[in-house]
Amino acid sequence: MALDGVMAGGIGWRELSDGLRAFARSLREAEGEINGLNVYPVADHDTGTNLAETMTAVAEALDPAEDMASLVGSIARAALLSARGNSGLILAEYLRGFASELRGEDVADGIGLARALHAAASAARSSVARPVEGTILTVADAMAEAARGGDTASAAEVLRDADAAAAEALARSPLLLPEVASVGVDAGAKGLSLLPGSLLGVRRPAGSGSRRVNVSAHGPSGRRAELVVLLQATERDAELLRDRWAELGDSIVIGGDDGAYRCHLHTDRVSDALAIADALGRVTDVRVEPLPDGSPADIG
Amino acid sequence: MTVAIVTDSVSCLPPDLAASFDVTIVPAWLSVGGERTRDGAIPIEAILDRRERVTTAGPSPGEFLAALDGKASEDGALIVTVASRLSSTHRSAQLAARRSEVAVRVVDSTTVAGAEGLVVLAAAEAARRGVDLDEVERVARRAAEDVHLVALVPDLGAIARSGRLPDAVVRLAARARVRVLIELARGRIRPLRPRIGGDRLDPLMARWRASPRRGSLEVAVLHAADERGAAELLERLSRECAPRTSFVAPFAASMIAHTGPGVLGLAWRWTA
Repeated sequence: MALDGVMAGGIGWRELSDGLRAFARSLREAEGEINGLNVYPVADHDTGTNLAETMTAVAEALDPAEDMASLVGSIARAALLSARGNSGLILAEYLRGFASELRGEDVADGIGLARALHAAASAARSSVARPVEGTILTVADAMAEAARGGDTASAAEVLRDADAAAAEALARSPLLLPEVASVGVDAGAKGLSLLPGSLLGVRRPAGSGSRRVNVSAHGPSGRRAELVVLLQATERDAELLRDRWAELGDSIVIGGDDGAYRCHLHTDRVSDALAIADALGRVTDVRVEPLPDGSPADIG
Repeated sequence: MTVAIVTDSVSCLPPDLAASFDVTIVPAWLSVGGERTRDGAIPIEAILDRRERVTTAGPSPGEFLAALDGKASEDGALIVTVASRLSSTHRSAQLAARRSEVAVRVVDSTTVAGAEGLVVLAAAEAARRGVDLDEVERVARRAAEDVHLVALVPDLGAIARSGRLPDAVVRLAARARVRVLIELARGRIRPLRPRIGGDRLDPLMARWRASPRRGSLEVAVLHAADERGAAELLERLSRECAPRTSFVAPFAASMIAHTGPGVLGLAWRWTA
């Protein structure tokens, strides 16, 4: 049995395999939330599904691996075969680049991981004809940059640095990509930012908890609707919600206190409004009622 | 040995026509009520009947590579894809082309459905003449520029949900509550202003008549469970000008997932 993970500072092929499966689970849990964030470049709200489907298929293909070399081969093949949608294609190239650097050793140390993160970012970027910043590519670059931990950084340290850098890049994405400012962050960027934590074995609850935001159920964009959301959030975040929603519609009423708010809005961008609420707090209930055409704005 | 021609299932070439031109079709994926299936494996009636959301995805790079594996020789291959503006399939084909051992070129048809099919047929005819990959690619790109596609869409709601329509167009259609005539050109969908009067096929015929004639006509009529309407449209058009090539076909299931039912499409190309 290989001494995977026992060697100080390294991540073994079994741990890597587990980490990638955890990444697939994280993406599946965040699927609805990420779909809601998917407004760029086409608001077809399927980035979450595409990332989850792609990574789940890759994770399932990892079972027969027996060492790092066979694991890496499985990742590369499965990524090529299962990539789904634009974001899935970029993720697949990211994973192929990542895996290609790890071929040599059964245990990857800090330096090996740093190289892998660089190769991954490079592969993802070169797969896109016209790279755009504020997206998954920026998070990939940020993770690779942060991983220059020097000779003594352990694998865990590299991943922690990458995790922090990813969160920072994610927060910056609306500055680089104004199109996502209304929902907060870019969908693909959000998806990739879950990777370092997964490899570290840290479970992060998705913004929406266990409830999936099914944005497709709420009618076509362009159709005005009344949206009522029950939100658990701080007072500060409730005020932020009011400001953000003011850009999307009218008849905004936010009532309640002590961390629980009932938030009401008339808008023709229900999915955008929901994604913002999801990002600011914990949504525990959603109700959408299409408004009759030409209805005057009124306080419900 | 000739250049191999590969395309995705959105080009909706009837299987026997594809076979006669030795075109390989790589199917797109659909998820219907949580179950995964592919174009060709599910009848479009099944999509039209379902209320749950249908999601779609193009073929993966690995699937394109597998198709090339069986078909491509050292003469190379050409992959014609659905418009890159509307689907990730084009990128997927490009990633496959990078990894192929034989020379592979990828052409963005900038269109969909039967119009894409006409581009594929143009490439296939060139390949059959035995010309090289450069020439086949040139023919395909030229055909993509020349092809037209218009469609009658009873309800823009489905396309709007797919995110591929500007909001302003959707609001317009919702208020008007009429069947909308749209044109697809260079990967973009835009509404057209149909003349009032006549039956439902007239707006499509009028649009076709308005395009400048040059050489021979190639036509494809696409439908969603309305073979009779499609056949009638082709017959009416053929009486005015007999096409050199024509076919009637259902839209791919993966496309109907985005257009909704009742869509009737007319694709054509004048070739010198």
